[in-house]
Amino acid sequence: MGFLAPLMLLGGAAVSVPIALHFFYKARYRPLPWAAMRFLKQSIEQTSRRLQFQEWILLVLRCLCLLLLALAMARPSCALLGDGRGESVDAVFVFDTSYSMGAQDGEKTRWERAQEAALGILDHLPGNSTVQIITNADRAADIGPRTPSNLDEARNLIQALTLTSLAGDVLPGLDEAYNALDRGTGTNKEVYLFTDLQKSGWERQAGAVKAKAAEIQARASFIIVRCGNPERPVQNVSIADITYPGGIPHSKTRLPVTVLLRNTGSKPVRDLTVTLDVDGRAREKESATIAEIPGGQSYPVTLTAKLDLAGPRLLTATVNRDDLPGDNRLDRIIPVRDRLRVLIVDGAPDPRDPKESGSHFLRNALLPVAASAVDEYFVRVTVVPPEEAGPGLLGVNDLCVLCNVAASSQDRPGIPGLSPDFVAKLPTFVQQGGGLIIGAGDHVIPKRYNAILGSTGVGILPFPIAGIVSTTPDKPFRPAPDTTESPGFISLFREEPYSTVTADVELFRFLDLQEDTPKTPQEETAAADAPKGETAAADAPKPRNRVLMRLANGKPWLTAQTIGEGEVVFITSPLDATWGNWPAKAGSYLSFVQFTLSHLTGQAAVGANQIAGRPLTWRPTTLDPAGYELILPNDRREKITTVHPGDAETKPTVTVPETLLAGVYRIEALGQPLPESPRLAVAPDLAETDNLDVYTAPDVESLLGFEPVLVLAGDGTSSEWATLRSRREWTIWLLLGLFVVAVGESGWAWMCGRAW
Amino acid sequence: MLSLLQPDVLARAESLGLAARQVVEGLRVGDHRSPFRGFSVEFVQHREYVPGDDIRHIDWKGYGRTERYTIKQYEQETNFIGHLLVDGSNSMRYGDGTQNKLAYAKLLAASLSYLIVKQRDSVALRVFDQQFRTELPASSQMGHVQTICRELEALQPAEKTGMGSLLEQFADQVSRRGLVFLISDCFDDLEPLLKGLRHIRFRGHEVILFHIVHRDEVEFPLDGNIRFIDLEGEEQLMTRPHLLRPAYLRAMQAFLKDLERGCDGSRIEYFRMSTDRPMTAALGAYLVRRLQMTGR
Repeated sequence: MGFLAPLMLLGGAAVSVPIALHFFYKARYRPLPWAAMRFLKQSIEQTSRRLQFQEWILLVLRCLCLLLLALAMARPSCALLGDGRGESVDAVFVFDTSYSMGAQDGEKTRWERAQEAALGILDHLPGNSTVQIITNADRAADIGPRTPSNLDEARNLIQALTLTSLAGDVLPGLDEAYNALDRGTGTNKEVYLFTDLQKSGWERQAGAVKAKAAEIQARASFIIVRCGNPERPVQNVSIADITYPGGIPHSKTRLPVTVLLRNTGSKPVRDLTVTLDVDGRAREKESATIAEIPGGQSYPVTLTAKLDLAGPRLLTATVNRDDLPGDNRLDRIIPVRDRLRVLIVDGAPDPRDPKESGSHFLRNALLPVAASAVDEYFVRVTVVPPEEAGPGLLGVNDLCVLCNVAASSQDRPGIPGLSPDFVAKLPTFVQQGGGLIIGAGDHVIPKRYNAILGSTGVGILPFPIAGIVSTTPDKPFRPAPDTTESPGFISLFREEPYSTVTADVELFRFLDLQEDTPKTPQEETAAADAPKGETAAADAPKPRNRVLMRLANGKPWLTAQTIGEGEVVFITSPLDATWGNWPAKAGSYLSFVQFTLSHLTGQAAVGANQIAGRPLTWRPTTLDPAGYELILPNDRREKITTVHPGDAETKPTVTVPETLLAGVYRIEALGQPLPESPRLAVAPDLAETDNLDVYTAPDVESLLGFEPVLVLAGDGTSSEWATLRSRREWTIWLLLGLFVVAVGESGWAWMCGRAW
Repeated sequence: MLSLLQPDVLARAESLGLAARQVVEGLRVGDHRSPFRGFSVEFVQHREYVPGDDIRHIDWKGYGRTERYTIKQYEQETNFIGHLLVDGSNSMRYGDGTQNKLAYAKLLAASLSYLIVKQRDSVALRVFDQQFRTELPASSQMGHVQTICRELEALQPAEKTGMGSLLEQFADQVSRRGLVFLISDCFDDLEPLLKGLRHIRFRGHEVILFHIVHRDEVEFPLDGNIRFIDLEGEEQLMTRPHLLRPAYLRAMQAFLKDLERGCDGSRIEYFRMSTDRPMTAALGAYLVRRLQMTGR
C-alpha cells in the first residue's frame, strides 16, 4: 500500500490536538469555592470510571476522525508501496514487439492498439511522473527516454516504435522492467505490459515468468494491457521454408523451388497467392494460387526461379496478405554456380571392370545426362586414386567424395591410402563450405579411420566406428526410410516413391557406429563457457552430428556432421555394390546423390541465411580500413562495430550481433560502396506463429499465481485506466469511514453530554 | 437596631412566639412548662404516697373521700434557656449576599435570640467550627441580644466543621434542660453529628436543628467547566458538573434523608432552611409548624 499524496499524512499529527486538550487543557475551568465537596467527590467516585470511559471513547473517536481525514487526504492506494512523497508515478512501459503484435483482428492491428493505449495512459499520468520504455520480444531493450521525466520524448518514442521479426518471450521484458523499477526515484510505481498474450511467449519460461511477475507485483502495480481481440481468431499462413531438393542452383537454368506454406491458424485459409522472385525482379516473378489450406496444415508449392547469373542470388517468396503479415515473406540467399566440381577419390578402382567401382556409380549419379552432353553439363567430375589425391585438388573442387578409401597407405600393405597432407586439408575444406561424402568399403579399417579421420584425428567423422557388422545373404540388412531425418535434405525419403525403393535395398555388411560417444572434457568446457550469443547461434535446427537414416535394426546408415560452413556425410555402406545392392536401386541411390549434392553445395550460403535475432557473420577476403555499415531491410544504416581482423589461419569476420527484422541486410564499406555488397537474408522466427493461441484472463491468473490488473486496449483504455487508478485508491472508503465515525462521535458526545 | 434584627422578621416571629415543645426547667415562672411538679398552681395528677414524700403535699381531701394517701402533683410554668449553637466553619461561607449561608445563619440566630428574650426567656450563644470559638452565657436581658448580635456580626468563618465531639462536650457541660438550636449546614460526618445530637437529647434538652442549605448545594444547577475549590481544605476538583449532577443529587438526597431520618428517630426537630427562601417566610413557617405541634 502507498499514498498518492503522502505529505498529507502529516495532517495525522492533528490528533495531538484532542489529546493535548484531553490531558492538558485546564484554562477554561471557572473557579468556584464549594462547601459540599464531600458529595461532589462522592459523585465523582461513582461516575469517574464511566466518565473516563466516555472520555476515552470520545478521545479515540475524535482522534480517529482526524486520522481518517489525514489518511483520506493522503489518498492511499492499495497496490503501491512505501511512503511515497507525491502522487507522481514512475511508470515502466513494456511493449511486446514480437511480430504477432502486427496481427489485425479488428479495425486496428494489435500494435496500433498498444500504441494508442500507451499514449492514452501517458496522457493520464499524474504530474511529475516518469516513464521508461522497454521493448521486448525474445530479448528486452530499454530504449529511453534519456530523461524519464521527459514525457514528450517518451511520446515520440512510442510513436516511432516498430515491431520486430522475433518470437515473443515475456521473461526478458519482465526482468528489464524489474531493473527499471530500481531506476525510478519515487515509490509510486506502475508496470504496464502491452501484449497480445500469445500463449507461446508466456509458456516458454513459465516458472521464471511467474516468479518475476510476483517480484514486480510486490513492488509496483502490475498492469497487463491486452492488445487484441480475444473473440476473433487470427488467420495466418506463414512461409515456412524455401527449398530446391531436386536441383542444384546453377546459372542459366530455371530452378524448381518448393515454397512450403503453413496455415498456423485453426481455420482454413482460401484463395492464397504465392509468388517467387529472384533478386527482386518483379517481371520474372512466378506465382501460384492455392484454393485452400486447412487449419494447422502445411502445403508445399513448387515454383521455378530463373537463375541467369552465378553468385549468391536472392529468392523471395511472398504470400498475399493475411491477418498477420510478419511471416508472409521469406528471403533466401542461394549460391548459384556456373560449374560444380566434384572430386571422387576412389580407393578401389577396378581397371579390369571399371563399372564395378564406386566411382562409376557416382559419376553416373552425378552426371544424369547423355554422354554427349557431359561436357556441357555444369557438374564436372574428377576421379583420382588415393595416391594422387593431393591437397591442391581440394582447393579447386566444391565437393569431395571418399569412396572406399583407406585412411592411410599404412593401413594395409599394397593398398594405397590418403596422404597425410590431404587428410590435414580436409577439415579446412569442409569448414570453408566444402562438402565431403565418405563411403564405406573393404578398405575402411575402423580403428584407422577413428584414429586418422575420427575425433582423435582430424575430427571429421560424425561418429566413431565400432566395427563391421555382417550378415548372410538370406537375412540382409535393410534401410528404414521412416527413420529419415525430418526436416532434412533427404526427408523426401519418407515419402513415395523414395521410401519403397529405399526399403528394398539389401546390405550384407555395414559399419557399426558408436552413437553414445561421451563428450571430451574440452567439449564440455567449451559448451559451458559458450556465451549466450554463440549458444543462440548454435541453436540450429540440426545438431552437429546426426543420423540421417537408420537401418531396420536401428543402426545408423546415413549420418552427417556439420563443420563450420560445410558438412560431412558419412555412409556406413559402400557407394559401390560390394556390400549390397544400393547402387542398383537407382531411385534411391541416384536420388540420394542428387539431394546430397544439392544440399552440400548449398552449404556455401548457410551463413548468408539466418533467423531473426541471431547474429550475422560475413567473412571478407580483406578488411576495409574505413569500416563497414549495415543497411537494414528498412533502409536504415548502422555502423558495424564488431569487426575481427582474423589471422593467418582464419579469415576476417564482420559480425552483426543481432538481427531484429526479417528481410535482406546488406553490408557496405563506409564511404565507398563495394562493387557487389554482400547480402544476408534473415527469416522471421517462425516459433512466434507456430501456435497462435492466446491466453485468457483465467489463464494468466493461473500462470502468475495472482490476479493482475488486466485492461483491454481499445478506445476507452485511458479513461478506463483513470477509473481503475481511482478505484485503487481508498479515499472514498476512508471518507465514508470518516463520516460514520464523525456521526458516531456526535451521537456519543450527545449521549454523554459532551458535544463540542 | 442592629442589622441582624430585621423588623419584618421579628414582627412575624414575635407574633407567633416561640414555645418550648417539651417541658423545660426554669428559675422563674414563665410561658414554659416545668418538670418540677408539686407546688405550683396547675394540677397535673395524683399518685400514691410513698414514704419519704413531703407530707405537706398529701391531698387530705382525697384521703377523706378515698381513705388513701395520695400526693397531689402540679405542673409549674417556668422560663427556659435557649442555646444557640451557630456553625461558623468555612463551609458556611458559600453563597452570595443574602443567600450566604453564614449570613443566613446569623440572621436566624439573632432573630431567635430576640424572640427568646422578648418572651422573658434566657438565651445563650455558642459559635463553633472544630471547637467552640465564642460562648456567651445565658441571659434574659434585652441588652444581651445586642451583645449576641454584635458577636454574630463580628463572626468570620474559619476552620473545618467538627460538630460531633463539640455536641458531646456541650451535652456534658450544660446540665439544665433547655432548648438547643443548632444552626449549621451539617457538612460533617453524619454519624458523630447524630450521636452528639442524641446525647444532647438524652440529657433532656429539646433540640431543634436548623439545617441551612444553599439551593446550589441541593439542586446542583451548575454547568460549564468548573474548578471546585474546597472551602474547608486545599482540594480542587475540575469537572463538568452537569455530568455529575445525577450522582451528586443522589448523594445529597441520601445525606438529607439520612440526616432527617436520624433526627426523627431521636425526636430531634429538623427544619431545613434554604438560603434562597426569605427569613421571614422560613422562620414564620417554622414557628407555625411548632405551634401546630405544641397544640397551643
